[in-house]
Amino acid sequence: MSLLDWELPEERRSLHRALDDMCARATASLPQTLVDAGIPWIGMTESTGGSGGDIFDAALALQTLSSNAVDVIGIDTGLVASWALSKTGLSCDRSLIAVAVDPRNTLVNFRSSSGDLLISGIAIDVPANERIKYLLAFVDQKLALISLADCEINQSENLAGESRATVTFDNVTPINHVVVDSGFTQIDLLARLALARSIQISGAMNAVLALTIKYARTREQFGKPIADQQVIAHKLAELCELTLMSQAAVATALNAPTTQNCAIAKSVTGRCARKASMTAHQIHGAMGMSQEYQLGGLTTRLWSWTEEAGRPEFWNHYIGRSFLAQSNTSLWESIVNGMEGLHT
Amino acid sequence: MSELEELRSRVRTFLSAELASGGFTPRCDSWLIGYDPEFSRRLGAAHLIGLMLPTEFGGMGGGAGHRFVVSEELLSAGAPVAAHWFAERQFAPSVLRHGTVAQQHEWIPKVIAGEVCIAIGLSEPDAGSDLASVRTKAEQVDGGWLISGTKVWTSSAHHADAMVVLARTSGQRHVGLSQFIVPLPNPNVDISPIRLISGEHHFNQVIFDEVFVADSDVLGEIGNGWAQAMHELAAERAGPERYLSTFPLLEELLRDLPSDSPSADDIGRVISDITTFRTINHKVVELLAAGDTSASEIAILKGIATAFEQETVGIALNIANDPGNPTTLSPAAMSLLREAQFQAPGFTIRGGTNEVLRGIVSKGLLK
Repeated sequence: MSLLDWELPEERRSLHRALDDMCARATASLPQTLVDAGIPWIGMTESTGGSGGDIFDAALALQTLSSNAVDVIGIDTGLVASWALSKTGLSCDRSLIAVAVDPRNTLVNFRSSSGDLLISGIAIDVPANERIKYLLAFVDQKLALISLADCEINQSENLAGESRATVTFDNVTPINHVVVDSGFTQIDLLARLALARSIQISGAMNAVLALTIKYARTREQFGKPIADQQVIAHKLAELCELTLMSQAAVATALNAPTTQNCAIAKSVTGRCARKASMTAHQIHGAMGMSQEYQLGGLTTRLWSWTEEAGRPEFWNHYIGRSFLAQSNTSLWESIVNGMEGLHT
Repeated sequence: MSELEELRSRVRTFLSAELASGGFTPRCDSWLIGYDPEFSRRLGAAHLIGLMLPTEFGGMGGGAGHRFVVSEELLSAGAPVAAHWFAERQFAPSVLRHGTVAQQHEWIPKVIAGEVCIAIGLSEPDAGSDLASVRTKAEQVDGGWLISGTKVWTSSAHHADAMVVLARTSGQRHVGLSQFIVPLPNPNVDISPIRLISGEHHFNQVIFDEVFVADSDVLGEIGNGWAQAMHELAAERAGPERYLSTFPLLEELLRDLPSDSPSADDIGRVISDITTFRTINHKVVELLAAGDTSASEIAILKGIATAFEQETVGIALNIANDPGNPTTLSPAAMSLLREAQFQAPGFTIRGGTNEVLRGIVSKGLLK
């Protein structure tokens, strides 16, 4: 279906197919298989210990795994952590890294005492477990790599059962850190994390659409498939609109991954995901509420990812404030400049 | 600077000069209600019409991207482009694709110069969403055709130099339709206004009473009218006029907001959505340029973008009435707000209702 493949050039389809195959053969060992295959390091150059590939490959991997509702340990290593490392010149071995950055700054309260850098505070909603070696954290104007072994981890889960830990630091000395210049801020790192969640959202939405179409064609009521009812057909079209919108927002950010475009991606995908999940459940009727059925595994992810790494309202506010802070730029210039190089 | 960036800057220079000299006042929905033939001529003289039309007729011979850049710059500025909009958007491309060499030489140079206004006659009293049920008839006579029937909701017919009429040439529902170019005025064509709720006159009822059309004014092949009209509709649905109709209002309202305005969230939403529509539009323009006029993306873009346009009226009212923003609206903002409110219901109706579009999309999904 051209609709779902419109950002997928032929040369990248092999990765997509390989991952789909891996997910189709899913067993209890799948998480380890994905790590062994180097999936979390896609998007990180080989010379620094990564698996190679660019941002599109990393996105494709994330999208494909998300459409299969598969959890990936260290999911943010390639697209988010390695990007921040290479941007700031911080070095790291080939390990799995979780990113601790949260829009609710009051809850992530790091302190560095003078002299030796010591970090204290609490990070919430961190996709961390025993296999993750490092935590990448933004402290004041420093980016620090912290060994998770030095922290207290309280495991918890998001709605989809994915690991989301509360990590407590008590005067922890980072393994490595770098002072970053003012051109790189906590919001830039958060936006990159938001891009990762946006990609995951669009992947899961693709799967929700496909699943819902399939259900509506096979489920019969009043003597015919419910898809033959115009009201259901229109709901399917609405689902398709929301899915395309999410794909396009992600495509914009992948082609020009600025902080603003990553923020836009999360604003759009999050808002679309909220509507799409409810529409898909409505079409499925009671069936979609069953734990045995696949829909819930996708929609719970959509709900969690929408709220993580800055919810749509957070990013709308950020984008709006950024615009208002520029005194001499028209709304139109701001939109065109934000996409510069994309459609000019 | 890339070629497209240069073109964009050329349009902006033209528009700044126009604004500075009082050449136009920005309007919402300016591609429908901003009729100003002098503006269209000046735009033509600046070589900013017919970007995709061949150089042999005076066009630029550019790609879809060229036309896209010029269109979005004109619409975002609220420039009065209605006098030439339909001629450039669908008439000239259709004449180029289906017309005779004589028709091409007669019409295309005038379109490129911004000198002709063309009306498109599709809807009828009993044929709106169900367009294939048109009843306007064309009967073959010696040397041509006699057209009789009624068209409604025809934009700019009262200004038009010619009208393209979709008429029935046989009983078969789709393949019985053909297109004719009817030069105007014509003593047997009666044009009367259908005033909008704003009181303004942009739409018309057009009655044809045995109007003779020469064989040389048949557009394309007899029996191919439905396919030709659908091709035009794809072009009509696929442009930035589907998300920028209220943009001049938003621009005016945001001009003087304080940096701590409480409207930041609304602004962020507008920037996010328009940015995303532009990406989809870019894709759609590519699809159309490749000849794919039935792609679901076209129907989807028009549906979601026009629903957004409608919502921006509410957003504008929120911004205008929030106590944290300046309390008095400029006369320009008040006028744009009224235009947007009056025009808003039409956004999701014209060019195919959003319900018809969802029908197209779901048909594609369930194929």
